[in-house]
Amino acid sequence: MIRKYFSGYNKYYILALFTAALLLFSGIFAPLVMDYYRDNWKDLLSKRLTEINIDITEKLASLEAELVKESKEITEKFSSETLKDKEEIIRFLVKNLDPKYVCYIYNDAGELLAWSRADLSKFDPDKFAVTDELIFYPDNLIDYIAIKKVIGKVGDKSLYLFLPVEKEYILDNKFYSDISLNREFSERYGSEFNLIFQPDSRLNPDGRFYNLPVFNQNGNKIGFVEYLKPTRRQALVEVNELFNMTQGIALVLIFVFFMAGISKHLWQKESKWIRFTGIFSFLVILRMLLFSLGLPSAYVENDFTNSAYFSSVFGFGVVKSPLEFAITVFFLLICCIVAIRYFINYEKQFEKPDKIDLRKTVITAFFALPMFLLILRGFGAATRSMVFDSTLRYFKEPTLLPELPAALMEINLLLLGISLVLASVIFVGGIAVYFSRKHPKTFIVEFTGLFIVFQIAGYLFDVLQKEPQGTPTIRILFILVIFLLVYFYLKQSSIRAGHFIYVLFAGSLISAAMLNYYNSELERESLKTTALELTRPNEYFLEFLVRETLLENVNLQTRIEEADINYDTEAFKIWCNSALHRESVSGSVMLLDSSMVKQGVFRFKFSEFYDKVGTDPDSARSIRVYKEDFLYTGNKIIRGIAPLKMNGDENGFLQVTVLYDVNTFGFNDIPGFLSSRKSYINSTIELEKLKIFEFSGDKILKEFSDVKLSDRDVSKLVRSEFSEYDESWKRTQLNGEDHLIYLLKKSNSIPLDILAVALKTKDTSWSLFDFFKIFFIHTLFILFIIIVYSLYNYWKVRKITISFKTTLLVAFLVISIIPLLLLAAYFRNLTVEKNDEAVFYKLGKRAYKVEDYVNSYINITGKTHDEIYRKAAEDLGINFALFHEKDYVFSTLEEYHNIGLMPKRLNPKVYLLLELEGVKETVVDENIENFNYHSFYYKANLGGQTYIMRVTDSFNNILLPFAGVEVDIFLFGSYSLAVLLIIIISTVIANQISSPIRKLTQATKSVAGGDLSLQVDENAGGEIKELIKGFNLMIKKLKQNQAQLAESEREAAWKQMARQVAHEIKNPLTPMKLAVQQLIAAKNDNSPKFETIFGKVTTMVINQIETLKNIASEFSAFARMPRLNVEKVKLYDVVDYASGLFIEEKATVLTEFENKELEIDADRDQLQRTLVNLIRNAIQAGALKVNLKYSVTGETCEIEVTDNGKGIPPEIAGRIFEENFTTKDSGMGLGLSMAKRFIESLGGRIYIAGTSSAGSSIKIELPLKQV
Amino acid sequence: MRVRSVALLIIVVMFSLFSPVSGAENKEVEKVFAKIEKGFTEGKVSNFEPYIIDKVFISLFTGTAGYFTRNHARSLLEDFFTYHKSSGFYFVSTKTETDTPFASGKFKYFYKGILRTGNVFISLKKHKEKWIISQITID
Repeated sequence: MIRKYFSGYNKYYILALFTAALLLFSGIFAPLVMDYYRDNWKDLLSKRLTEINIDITEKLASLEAELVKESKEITEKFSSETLKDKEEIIRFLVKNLDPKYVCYIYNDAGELLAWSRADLSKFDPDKFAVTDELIFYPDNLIDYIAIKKVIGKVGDKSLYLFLPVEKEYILDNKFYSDISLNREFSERYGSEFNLIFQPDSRLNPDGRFYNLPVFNQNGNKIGFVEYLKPTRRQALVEVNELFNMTQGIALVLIFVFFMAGISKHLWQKESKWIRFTGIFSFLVILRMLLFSLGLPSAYVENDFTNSAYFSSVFGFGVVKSPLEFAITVFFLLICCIVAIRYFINYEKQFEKPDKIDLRKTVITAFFALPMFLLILRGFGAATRSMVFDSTLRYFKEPTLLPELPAALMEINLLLLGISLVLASVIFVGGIAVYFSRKHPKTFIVEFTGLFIVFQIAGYLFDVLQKEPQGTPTIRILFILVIFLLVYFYLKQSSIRAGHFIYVLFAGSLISAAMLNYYNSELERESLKTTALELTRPNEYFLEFLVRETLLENVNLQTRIEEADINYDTEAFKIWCNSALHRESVSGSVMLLDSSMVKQGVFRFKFSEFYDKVGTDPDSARSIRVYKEDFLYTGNKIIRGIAPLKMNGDENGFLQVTVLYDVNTFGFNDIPGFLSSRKSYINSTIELEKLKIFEFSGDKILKEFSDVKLSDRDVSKLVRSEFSEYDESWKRTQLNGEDHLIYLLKKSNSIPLDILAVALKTKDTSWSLFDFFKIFFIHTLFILFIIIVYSLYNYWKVRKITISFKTTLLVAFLVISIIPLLLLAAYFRNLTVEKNDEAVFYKLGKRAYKVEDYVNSYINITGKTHDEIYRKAAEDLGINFALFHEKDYVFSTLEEYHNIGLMPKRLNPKVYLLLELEGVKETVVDENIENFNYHSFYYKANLGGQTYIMRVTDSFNNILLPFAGVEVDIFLFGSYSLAVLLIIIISTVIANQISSPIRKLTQATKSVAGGDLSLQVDENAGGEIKELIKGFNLMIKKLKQNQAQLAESEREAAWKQMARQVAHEIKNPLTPMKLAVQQLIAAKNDNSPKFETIFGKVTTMVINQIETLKNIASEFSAFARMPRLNVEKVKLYDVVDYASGLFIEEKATVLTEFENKELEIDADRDQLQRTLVNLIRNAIQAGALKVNLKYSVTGETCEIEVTDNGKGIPPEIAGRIFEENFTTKDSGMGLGLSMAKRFIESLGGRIYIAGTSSAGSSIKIELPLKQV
Repeated sequence: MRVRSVALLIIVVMFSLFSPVSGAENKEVEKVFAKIEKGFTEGKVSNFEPYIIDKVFISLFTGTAGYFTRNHARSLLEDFFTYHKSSGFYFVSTKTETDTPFASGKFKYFYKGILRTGNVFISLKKHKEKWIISQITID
């Protein structure tokens, strides 16, 4: 009884009710939980704190374990090897140490034997009181966890190993990799965390903070963590959100279950339109429900729900983030898939030409054509929004794999493109089907005409719009692709899942093309926004930044005037964490003691010339911001100063200065690792690709460019025509290359002040790269779909079938693509090698120049060495550094060494090569953060003293013949195009080669099914043609032999039967003769026993006659048809099998049925043979389309075979079911007669339902059940 | 006397013609700032949305910065106020007598239950005779 309620669709109602009960329960339960939290907050807080403390302790323990493990491994390896001298020890460390660690090895005498590439600002071995005990080791920029170990065979060496745990600075750019326990825990718990590395520091007295001591592996306190305790308010908010989310999910489930329950009534509807509308409405309502309940975006906070990445106001916000966009487009795709399925089924009813209606087609065309154009426009608008309403830059980075939000958006675009293609196929197919059914012979011509109509309509639609979406090329190609798909669809007898791959790739093609187009529009617009950005910073904004930086740091928790602290680093940290860095503003941060003496400074693109202490202590008792003009240069300084307080005591001063530079653009020579991601100058296009000029009249005031403009170029630009908004666009050649230039009039004063931003037109390899970058991601996604579908298929049928065509295709691809990839790899390696050589040469040249310059001055002037080095750097424009043995001596980038961004010790690998192995010069790869560069090290002789000179390409611009990035772009773009062409050509060739094999396979199956009248087309060459010829001959012979065999067998059977009949008949005849003879004799003899004899004879004769009659009946029964094997037969299988045998034929065999599960009582083989026979007859009568349809009327099943052949002439229509009647030259004329006999033996009938010159219809009626 | 009056009249006319921002302009700017202040206080973008057009520069401490279309800017700010619930806002300083009026202020908000403060900078510019927002920076 209970099972009855849970059976069928009822179970959904039960589930809906159950969920509704849960919803109600949660509504009652929620306020109780909130009250519980309020009343028991103390206990809950205690539990929460315990959880957080465990988490922190575990994290720290894992870091400690990592350090201990690394130290143990190094110690063991060190002990196991025999390392005789310093060279071997350094080599050992270079080989075995993970680069993230800082490491020193000292001997007992305190001599440094080996060190790591990463270096501390200040190393104090006295901090390691105990060996094998972990401590925190705070350094200037980075704080570490550290350990000291005794190593070596005699334990005479000390190893100091440091693992970074906290970076005290943040750089907002792509090169920075964060290491911060504070930030990690702050992010995780939404609270403020602070790791204190001194175990005896004062605890925070603020009661809102919790202090957790940190212990090392020996149980000794080494520091503590203070953090803001979770608040009750936040906890209540979280609980409330959890209940909201649960209730939202419950509501959605109720809706889904309820709709599942009532769907039963929907499936019972006859009308496909009603069913489709029902499904469509369900999907739309479900989507709106999810959106209105905020599922899932309101409860998920990550990059996928970040509206900065993408947001549009379309549809009241259903696409307000990448995730919402994905959900909406997914629902849209489902709607389109449902629509196309219904379209395919709906379209099948028009297989009979007379069923198709011109009037309906015209109405469809009036609706479909505008809809087609509108959805194309809609797609263009959506793509435009994806580009312009987003901070994602799909083409800026020359990397193959995008970041996750960009990848999600690209997949969204693919799904949208697929939806567009499906919908377009429906609109075009709805019109084209008329021509396909009604006029199959002239279909190509009419279809081409329809294509032209669509192209013209598309052109006119674009003309009518103010802003057409996309380009004419995209529109033309799109219409072409859709028409190709529709043509392909109409030519198929059945649609398989594999055919949808074409739809997927068509969707990818259109979406990649559209995205590329709009990106080029964005790049064009970015010239304008770059110009705007250059005019954005003004004095007031800079003043705001100065004031903000001062206010943020007035309570600096670093004591000024302490000897141990590096104040340059402190100034750098202030700069990093301020808006000055984020806005990439030229300026400086200076720390002053209470007497206004400079203690530390960090300057960013800021000359020391502008940097002086601005005021005296007495006038800086409160925050002051003031400006200073430099009349000579026209620049302005905005300087602010604020007194610092530490725990209420005076603690010196902070001075922040920014430069309002009117002479340069201010972003020349920013080292990449100090750039800011926020700087909009970098946003859409890499800055290096832009050329920016500012003109005053005919003079160049400022420039940022790698080309020099001629006077003619300048004149051409400044004499441009400007619009009413003071802007102008120009395409012209600069330095022989095409450029697009945006010009903005900054002021209308005379001379005119004009800003020009220029971008070189992308070359072909870049365009190809951009296109294939998107196509690549789409292809990966499509492959994923194919794999998932294949696995699902395998799970259903439990077998994998790989066709001959697929094998051929794979073989072609393997033999073509692998050499291509090898060639690409080789070319890339070659280019990398050439680039390395170029780097070596160019940096080397600079090093030699510096050496020559210094040596020419070092002995003849009264300057110090440092002054000479500086002069060399200035005069030659070369940045370099000097080391003596392993120690830092000088650098033009002194500030980076001072603050700890660059190490002050020589790279140990370089020391090994140049100092110990005697190599003269080398190039090594080095990095600051993830900013990689090449460093050329050279053993220079400067004034008789040997130094190791370093020249890097990060601070000395060198041009490589073919930069690594350009190689990758060229290779990927060009080779992707080559691979695509290979795939297309291989598919065509594989298809061509396998086509005759496929036809032969089908023909073999037909023969096995009993059809011996077919012949395979001999449209092939070589051995395949011979094979087909042989096969056709074989069939003919088989048929002849079969006929002969049948004839012989018939003859033999008749003979046998006649012999048998004669034999059987003879038996009763002999006694009959004897009996009659006896009677005659008795009569002649007037025998007294005549009456008795007469009775016996007549009885015997009658009996023998009865025997003869029985013999005749027996033989009659024997002569009937072979015994039928009647069983339950699924009609769909028989029809499908029969139609499947003709796949390779020119004619199309279609099937139509209402009930796939219909079963009748029949002999399967005979029925199959009958249908195959009827189809074969139709094809031989010239039909190009044969339709098999079955349906049920009452207790009868009707099977109708209709064709569009030449029909049956009336004079022979009545005779076609006769035995031995045929109109063919070959044939026994038995097929239809046997078919008739078979059908009638099942109690059915077969007859001609209709015939004309346009085709025929044969109907078979069979009872559903045999009695 | 007559010459003096005419000279005075000329000076007055010249002054009113060439002063950067007239009293009416000033009032217009103040009205815009008042709307912005209200919008930040209530955490509702709709209060100052009419003053946002395409290519407005927005910089947020969440890491987002750049030039945005009108619609995108609106979504961005709406999202910002959703996650950073306003607890109050006031302008610390405003400067209206200039071609590019600006104002800076303090924005108090709750983020994950903790009250924090951000610094706001807003500047305006003239676009087709109407004052619009050119920049919003929240640090």
